[in-house]
Amino acid sequence: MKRTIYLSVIATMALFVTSCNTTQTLYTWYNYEDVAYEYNKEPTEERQVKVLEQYKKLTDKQACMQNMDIYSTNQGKNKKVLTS
Amino acid sequence: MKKIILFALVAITLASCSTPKTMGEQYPAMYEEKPMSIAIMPPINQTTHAEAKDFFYTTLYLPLCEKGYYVYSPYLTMEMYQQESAYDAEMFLDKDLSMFQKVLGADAAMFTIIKDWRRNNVGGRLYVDVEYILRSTKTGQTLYQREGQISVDTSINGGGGGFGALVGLIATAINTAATDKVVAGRKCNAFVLSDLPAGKYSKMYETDMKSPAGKPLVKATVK
Repeated sequence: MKRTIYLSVIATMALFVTSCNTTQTLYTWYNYEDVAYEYNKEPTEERQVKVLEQYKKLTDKQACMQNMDIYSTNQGKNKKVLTS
Repeated sequence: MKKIILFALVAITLASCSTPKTMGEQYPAMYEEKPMSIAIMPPINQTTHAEAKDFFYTTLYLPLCEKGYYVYSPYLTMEMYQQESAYDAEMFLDKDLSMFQKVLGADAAMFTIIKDWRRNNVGGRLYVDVEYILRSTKTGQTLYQREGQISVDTSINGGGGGFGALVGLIATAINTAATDKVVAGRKCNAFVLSDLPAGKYSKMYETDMKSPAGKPLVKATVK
């Protein structure tokens, strides 16, 4: 009986862990999609500045890179490469 | 009678046993050419919703980058397209694309054709139908082609009874009206491009060749 309970607990935990797996993205996007879309809907100077700020943030503060070697090779030495 | 049943059973078994195509079989040109960089072309809008073209254009950057491709910034390319009278992608859909390789250095150009882009407030649905065509700028051949017919269910259940149904109907109409149609466009990208072979910047690069490929036409309803 104890063994069955023990096995059930392990099975439940395994299910829990697999279901908690979040989708890992290649890059950190911050608020890019919304900011870009807002600018597209109404292209004002203020929104353009926000888009450019987003681009800068995307290139400067990447925290989710999985493919570090390729990224650093292609982007040059000036980019700050963070480990995921 | 027995023979017919036996024949039907065999037919069903055979049909269910047919193996789906692999990514390598479905998109052989992608694995031969191995494009690294993609230029997103302005969408070809076949609907009456003029805004769909510009709105949908910006949604393509993120999913293509996430697939592991180097994608030219939509803002830079759009400005260039407008200056060089290349805003109408229809002109290039079946024409020579070598200029995009010479000017931008792009290996491939992603065309999208928006076939449907609408909202049904009463029914609580957003509909999009987009075809994606990736063409090589070197050889001009089609590397990838897939279409997505996606509807987003924005309905809200107002509860039981006549009053509940009315509440649900109003809530659904409000929710549908408030939900931006671009949401459906993004979901369509996610569905359709999930089948795009991974690019060089992805960990899956050249390892997804044996993975099962999806159908050329994706139909789905998402919440």
